[in-house]
Amino acid sequence: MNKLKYVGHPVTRIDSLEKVTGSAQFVDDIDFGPNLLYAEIIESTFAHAIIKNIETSSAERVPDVVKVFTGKDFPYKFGLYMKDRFIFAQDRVRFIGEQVAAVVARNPKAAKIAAKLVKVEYEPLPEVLDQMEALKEDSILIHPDLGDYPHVPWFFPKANTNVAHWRKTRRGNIEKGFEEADVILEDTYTVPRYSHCAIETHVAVGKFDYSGRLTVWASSQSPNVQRNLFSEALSPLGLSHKDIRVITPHVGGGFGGKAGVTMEIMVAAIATKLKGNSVKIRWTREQEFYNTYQRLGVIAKITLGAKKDGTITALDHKLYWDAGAYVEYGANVVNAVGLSATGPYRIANISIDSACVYTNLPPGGPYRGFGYSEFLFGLESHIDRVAKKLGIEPVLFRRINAIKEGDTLAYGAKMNANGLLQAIEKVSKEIKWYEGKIESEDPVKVIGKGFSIFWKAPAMPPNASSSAFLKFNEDASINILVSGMDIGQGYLTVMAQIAAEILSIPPSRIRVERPDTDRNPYEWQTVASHVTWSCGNAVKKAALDAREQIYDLIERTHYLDRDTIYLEDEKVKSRTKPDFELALKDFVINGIQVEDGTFKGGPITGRGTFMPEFTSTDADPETSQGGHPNVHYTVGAAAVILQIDKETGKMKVLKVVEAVDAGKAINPDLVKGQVTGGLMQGLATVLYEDMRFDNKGKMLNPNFTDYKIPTSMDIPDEIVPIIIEVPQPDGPFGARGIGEHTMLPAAPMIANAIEDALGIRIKSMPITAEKVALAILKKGEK
Amino acid sequence: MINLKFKVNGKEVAIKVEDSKRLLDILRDELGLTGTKEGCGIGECGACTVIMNGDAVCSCLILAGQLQNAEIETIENLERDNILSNLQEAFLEYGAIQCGFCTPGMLMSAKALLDKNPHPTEEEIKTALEGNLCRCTGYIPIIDAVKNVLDKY
Amino acid sequence: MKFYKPTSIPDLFRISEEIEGKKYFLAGGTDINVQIKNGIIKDEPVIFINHLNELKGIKESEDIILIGTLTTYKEIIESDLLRKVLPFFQNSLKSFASPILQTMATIGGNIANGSPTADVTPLLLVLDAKLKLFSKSRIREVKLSEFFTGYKEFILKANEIIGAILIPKNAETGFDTFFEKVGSRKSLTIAKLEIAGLKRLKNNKIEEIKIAAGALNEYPRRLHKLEEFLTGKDIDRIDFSQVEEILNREITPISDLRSDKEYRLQVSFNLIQSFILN
Repeated sequence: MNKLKYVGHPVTRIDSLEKVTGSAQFVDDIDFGPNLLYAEIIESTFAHAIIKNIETSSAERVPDVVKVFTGKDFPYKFGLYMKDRFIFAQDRVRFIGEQVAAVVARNPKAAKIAAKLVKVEYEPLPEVLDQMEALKEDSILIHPDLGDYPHVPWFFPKANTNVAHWRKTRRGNIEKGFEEADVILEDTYTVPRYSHCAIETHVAVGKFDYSGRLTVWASSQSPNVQRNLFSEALSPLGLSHKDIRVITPHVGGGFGGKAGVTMEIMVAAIATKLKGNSVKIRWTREQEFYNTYQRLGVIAKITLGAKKDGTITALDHKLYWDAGAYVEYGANVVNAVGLSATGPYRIANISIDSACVYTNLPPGGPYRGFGYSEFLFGLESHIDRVAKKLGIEPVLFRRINAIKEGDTLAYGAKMNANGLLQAIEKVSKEIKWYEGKIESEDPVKVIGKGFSIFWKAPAMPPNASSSAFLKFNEDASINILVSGMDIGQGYLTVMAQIAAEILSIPPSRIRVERPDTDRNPYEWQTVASHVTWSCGNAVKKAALDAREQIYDLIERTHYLDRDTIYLEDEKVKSRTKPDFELALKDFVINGIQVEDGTFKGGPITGRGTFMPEFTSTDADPETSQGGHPNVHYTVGAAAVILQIDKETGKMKVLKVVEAVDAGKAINPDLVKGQVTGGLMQGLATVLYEDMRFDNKGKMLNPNFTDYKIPTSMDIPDEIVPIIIEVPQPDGPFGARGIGEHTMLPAAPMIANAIEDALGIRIKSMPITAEKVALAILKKGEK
Repeated sequence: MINLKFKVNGKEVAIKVEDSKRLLDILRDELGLTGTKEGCGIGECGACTVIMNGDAVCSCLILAGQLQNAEIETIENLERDNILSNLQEAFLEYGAIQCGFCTPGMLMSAKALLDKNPHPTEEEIKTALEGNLCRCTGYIPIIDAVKNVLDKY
Repeated sequence: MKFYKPTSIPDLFRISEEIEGKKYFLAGGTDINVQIKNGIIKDEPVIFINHLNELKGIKESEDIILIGTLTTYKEIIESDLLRKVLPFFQNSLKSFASPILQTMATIGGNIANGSPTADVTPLLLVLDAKLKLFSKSRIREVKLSEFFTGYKEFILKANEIIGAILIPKNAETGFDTFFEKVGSRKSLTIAKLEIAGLKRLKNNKIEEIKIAAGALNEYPRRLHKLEEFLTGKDIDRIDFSQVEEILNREITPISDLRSDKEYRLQVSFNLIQSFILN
């Protein structure tokens, strides 16, 4: 390959000028004019109850109130992978904070006052707040009609239970595997719920005009999913896809929380009943915590067997997920883990059970890492412990079992090319892993080191796809239309770099537009760390398509063999005729004039689509063998040096090193930005964030006062990002996604460092100062 | 209602508003200055940071009744005559931006610091930014940017 | 919601007395404005006082530092006078909230809010601070240690406000100082527990010791029994099991969102032990 000019270089983000000047418009910044209406949501005060009656008349009498809506106005189900949600609660509520009704008024104040006057009469039902309780045979059913819910073919709900989906993966002979083992260790690890905490809360505005067209402006990662689900849910109103337009301006952080559809469905539905007006819902920080998605909690039981030589012989991994009241998206987290909970290890005998259990807590859904952070906490803790039992150094133990290209995955397909061993080696070296213990100078403090490796595959339907349009302008500048979202990761810049490389036009001359479903072509959604790979392929194809059109035109107007021409610095050049040079701006719109005075050509517009045509979810439900559900895995390794204050249990990260295999870092600075930010988010889940509910299912800390995310004072003393590049054969320039992965190793490596420093194994997250100090105390007493 | 007179980005503003209207809402709704963002509404996230009489403050916690004769500076005041301030340039150069939602508040806290202390230490920078939450960057690029702003900004 | 903006201190009390029932004085607004936003304060009148310059500023007399009730934390942290006279007090407050809140939050507002976790109170307690309380017809001085009567309850009468905080100028002089705030992260955090202490040794013996605890009782308080026990003791011969026992009787921490009872007991003991020994 020729030397790359734009790909692999630290091009400055193409959206940064808007962002540093305050001109970047987020949904809440758009002026919708004086007729904008505001909706205030009436929320369930019970975790589980029958709605007996909703009294709206006094609210309707408040001046400036336009209308009050309840579930009766919209008896429609929706959901991404399983239709288990309603736009507003129908006959029952299933978590505290669930939307029961909406007051729409001409100003927010009137809406608020009136919302307090809506009286909802409930008949409380017993609430189930724990997945193990919900699994019991005599548990009350949260969804009595589960058996009737439509769902994707790769889900296996169990009617008349609280099990929404159960993914089983079996390979080899698990009993034989344990028989071969010299050491077997069994233990249970607990990971609670977490919140995304994007600094922008969800905001959505809907408008239904007099021509019957619905436009929704949303802070969303998923414009096409939004349009699709609005269209499905509202089809009884006669709306089709072409009538619905979703516009997603800048979005202030997503992390999975703005994927799929949550509160936006309410503005879409309400707007259809208030023709001509725009209706807005802006989530408060509190609502953002308890009524979007939360990361699912999990209880994971791991049994791992290994031989004296360090070979892992068997893994039995049982995961019970607290998936919340609705699992239309969250069940796919459970599914993804059920296929990949071996971690990046080569294991011959495997049994994985991943159970999606309804509880009366807020809906669980996608969160950066999509279940992998959760299972890796247990698995990577367990790996350290088994190594210790075997008397094998834990990093060596990982190297012995690390998965390699061509090894068989849990579901039977082959592992892709990857740089896992390189990552382990580079991280060990940078953290000085083999140079022994670090003694603390302060007698009150101790220092420990911890290691973790990680992997993750995009979790997508087998036919998830991307597409791109590329338009040349008169001056040879370019507009690219795609429907992925720049949620901060730098996606728009990366798309510009890919097109820039193919067409030899600097990224500064390329604009990549944010989604508008009317204008931009289809994208599944910006999740799964797949857009660099998937949409990057689509953009590359669109650029190649445009280039072919340019070559065609040159061939037939200048009679130059297409194999001898190339693009450079916005010009067409020839390898055989050094004096030939034609500027793109001279013909990409207006064509090329030939001898007879006529013009040939016309506007150059490229089109590209990408769908992974080798994937399938058709597999045996009892074993998951036979399909090819995942496109590929991204791998990496990380290590930490952690200081612990024995008096207070407070911890400080002195150094973190993380290596991630990007295949090809299209923009190395953006990759490093993901490592720093992702690690910080991962460290936050293990060290700071601590979501609490009372015994009735009410979230106690839905605010930044008591749900603490790190500040600038809490950063590690040093973060060292390392980029590994083992190319992904089907990725654009060899690239694969890395965005979510960067947070995956944080929790287990902290737990491992604590054990290294104190000899204490903590098996539940978060690992707060309280837990550490009390464990030290308990250990001292023994 | 009060007749409020104050200065925003160097210009005199005279408006009639409710005493309890928040500075944040006055800026966004009355004056169209939407660069200032709301992230939590209780002073815990810093997305709404502006400079008031020379100090960085949370505009969500200041009511109209506290604003008489105040001088306010917002993100919209940083770029002048198509030239970015050196602080903004540094944010570009050091990759201090991801989603961009905390960026205006972050820039205003940084500016308030640099206005008084053009050569802050790393510790002083961290302290000045501690009230501004960022979920994307892990703060390090932001701190690097502020550390490396050229003398004139 | 009705708002008032008095033009002077006498005007403030005139307005205040005219309003019957519950009313709020809005100083920095970092707390009240949140309560207004959240609808906790709905119809009650609010009196702006932040503009009353007479209630601001740090002054010194011969033996007293007087801090006006509306002095902001920022002013305290940056005060040259405090840097000279009460450096321990000033330094300890640098961890208060965040700079964007320090600019607004006032010391009087913080005390009058009455939170058991107020950062400043344990410090003021070991410094033997007094409060100057203003009402229409009189000014009275009370010891801060006698100001609180229960959770968010204090001896302020109707239409009486905290006017100033008084700290003896020699309050820190000659003492070893200690202040530790334990929170869930480094900054902008509500204390899980706080310990402030002053001690003076002579020939290895504790000549004088003052210890105050925050977030460990219904309101911040001095640990007088513990102080009494420690006074006169040789620091190498202290029976720390007895210290722990006395401490456990004198503090009554709870388990809540922010921490656990057991942790609060253990860590406050650890901190006090390290304060005594170091």
